[in-house]
Amino acid sequence: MTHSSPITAGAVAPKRVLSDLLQPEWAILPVLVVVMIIGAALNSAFLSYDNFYGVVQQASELGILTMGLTVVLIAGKFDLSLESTFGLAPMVGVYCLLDAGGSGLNLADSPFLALVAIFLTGALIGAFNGILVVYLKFNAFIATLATLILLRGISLGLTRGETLSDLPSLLIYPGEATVLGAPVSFLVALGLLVIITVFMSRHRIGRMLYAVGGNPQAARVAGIPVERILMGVFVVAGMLAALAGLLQAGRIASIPSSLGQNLIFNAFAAAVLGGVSLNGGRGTIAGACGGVLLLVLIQDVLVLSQVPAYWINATTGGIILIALFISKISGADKAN
Amino acid sequence: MSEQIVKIDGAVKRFGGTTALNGLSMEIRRGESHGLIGRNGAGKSTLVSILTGLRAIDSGTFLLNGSAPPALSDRNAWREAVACVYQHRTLVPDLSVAENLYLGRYQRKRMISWRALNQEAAAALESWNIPILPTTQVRDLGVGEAQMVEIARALNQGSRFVILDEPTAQLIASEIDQLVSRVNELRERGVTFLFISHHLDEVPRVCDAVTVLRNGRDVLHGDAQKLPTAQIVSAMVGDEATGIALTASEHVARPALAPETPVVLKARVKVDGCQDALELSLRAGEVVGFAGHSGSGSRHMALALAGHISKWSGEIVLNGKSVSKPWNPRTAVERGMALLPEDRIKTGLVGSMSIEDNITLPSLKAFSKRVLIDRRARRKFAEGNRADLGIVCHSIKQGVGELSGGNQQKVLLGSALSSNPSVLILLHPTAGVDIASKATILDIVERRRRDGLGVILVSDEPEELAFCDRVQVWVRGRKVIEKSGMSEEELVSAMEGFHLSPELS
Repeated sequence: MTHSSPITAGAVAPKRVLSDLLQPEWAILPVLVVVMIIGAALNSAFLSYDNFYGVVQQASELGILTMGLTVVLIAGKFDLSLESTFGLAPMVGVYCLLDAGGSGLNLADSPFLALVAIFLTGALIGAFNGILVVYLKFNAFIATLATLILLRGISLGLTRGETLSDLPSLLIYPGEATVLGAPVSFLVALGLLVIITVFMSRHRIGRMLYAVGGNPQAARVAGIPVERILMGVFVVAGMLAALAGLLQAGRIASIPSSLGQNLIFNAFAAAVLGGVSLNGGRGTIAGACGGVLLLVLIQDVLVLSQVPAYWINATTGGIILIALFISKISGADKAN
Repeated sequence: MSEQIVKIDGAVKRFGGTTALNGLSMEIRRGESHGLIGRNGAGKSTLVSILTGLRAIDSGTFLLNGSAPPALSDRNAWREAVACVYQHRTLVPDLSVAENLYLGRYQRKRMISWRALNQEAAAALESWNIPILPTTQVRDLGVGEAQMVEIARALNQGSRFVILDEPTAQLIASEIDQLVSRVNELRERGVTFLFISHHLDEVPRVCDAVTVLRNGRDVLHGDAQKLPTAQIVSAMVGDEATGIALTASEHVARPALAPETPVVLKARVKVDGCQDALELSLRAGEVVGFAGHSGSGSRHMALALAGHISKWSGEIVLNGKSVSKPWNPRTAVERGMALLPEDRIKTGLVGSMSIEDNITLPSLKAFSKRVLIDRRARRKFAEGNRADLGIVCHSIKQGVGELSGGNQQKVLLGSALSSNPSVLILLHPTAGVDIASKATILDIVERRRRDGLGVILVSDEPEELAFCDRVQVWVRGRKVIEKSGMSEEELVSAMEGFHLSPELS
């Protein structure tokens, strides 16, 4: 980014329209179309309702996690531990409730309280990460890597590696139910997409968030409470991760100790593909969700075209690199 | 061996539309300490970049050691001919003194022998009479010691011509004495120095000859011991009016404030690291200047008032109410104290956001209707500012990163004023801004001042300071004078520590 080039009004206007279309978050659209054409060509089942239902469900879970991550990234920070929150929060909720394998706490009978506990856990973990990164000024990468391992370890310890099943129906419902032919999880994700997008562009705290990520010193000069904003961001991201975990737990009607494992890498890839800058201050929730859709579709196409399961990961990695390469030559990755 | 180490004749250097050097001529004789004096923008940094081979002159002649200088790409030849100790440290803090001395060169062997390296470094340091252990971590050195290591490294690389770029700016008095005696000692042993300083009192202590620059030209040469300081100051300032385009010249015409004008800011603040406390009483519509170079304390005082420095004691009374701690930027903005930081890009603007976003950043709350931002009101405000401040852009949605320096500064000023502050603190408001924007920027401030805005202006530019009703001059953490209607010469000499010289020598 050159800061010094003076620009004369008028002459640049037509170019401006073009550059708007080349905004990082739009660059993903043609790629999405190409992937869908390829998918339809390879396997007719790709265009079926059942296939889309599954894709949309998966995209909603990853999408909500990615929204949380994106908010943190826009504010200029990092949170690797979100995937462990994704697994641990629903587990804690269920533990408050169930007499699971004789080791549950059996604190309450109400599944509603379990729901509250799930979000509370997400918020607390987020606040813990926030304190480490914002107030104790630990490096966000290392601090949240440590909590990633710590929280995953707690999941393992609590379950002794076993899978929790027999979840109460209230906890399964959001991840599994269908309304008007669409999965509830998708409606939830769609609602969040709209709410967070409006919040980010039209609420003052949303704008402050961009300012904090774009230039924390300038934000401080403008009287923005930088630390408080960042704390809030970690808490919200933790709660979104908890919700995403709940949705996935509902879909598979159980909570394995590995729920959400390795998901954070997909979330990062999706955010970056969708034009979110890892340096903070740039990106949109919609763009990140486009990235999620692309990633999930690619994986779906790979499965349908009978790529051996053991090779799916390697192929996904390669395709992410290709997608990054495309956004580099199209100039859409200015953000990074 | 030529008698002259540097001989420049009629050198011209242009950067785009601006002429940095405009027919500069000077000579530096072998074995002398040569003082180089000039205000900001006089061409000192450009001259240094030419002497060190970072840039070439556009026209004129430049002889180094009596012959044409090496090609710009031949870094080794330059390193052996000239070394520069910059204001900022160029040592690696986590390596030892010995490693820093031989960084990148070691011993041309495959494996480093630490013992040999340390011995070699110790011998080198001893030969230049610098009492520092080669195994010390550079991080643990004081500012003065680190500077000596930089000088030793320069000499070690074979150079016998060393440029010291404002070496005393960050030193305390005892360190300055040490530096002066060390420089004098090295000169006895045949090292040539070019000594750039803002503090005129140091020049006769160190230098044999002196050259004064103004507007890219040499305006005075002479014997540093004999030239009277007053003559140096008047050469620095010049006769021609440099700031014609500024409204500043009108300041004399400002009518006196009505006697009942309220005091908006009353402060008695002792900032850590500054010897004198700040005593200030600012009335609505008054402009007070804090003059001084970097390290003088003037900037620190202003930052403490704006809540950006927490290490101070005393009292700040804003609009009749004493401020409570913690006094941070957020509470300061809320209470009506706005700051225009000096570095637009680094600390002022969010480059990735639009003009509209930046200009309303401190006042988002005022633009919120119930929950969301009232976009129409915000756009109206931004458009109004665009017209008022004369921001040249094709849309207020344009990113501020794409604007020119002057326009960025206008956006930043609009942003600082958007919260309707009662006190505005300006740090070098027109630095690096084109002449036309300079005038507009001060004009905007002047309009708000008439409406009762109290202004504090931190600067080392007499043209800017002419905008003030009265000016406090700070030198090395001490207030040397507070006066209204100071002439340019008075201001410059006060900032250069001229008033201090009787005590120091």
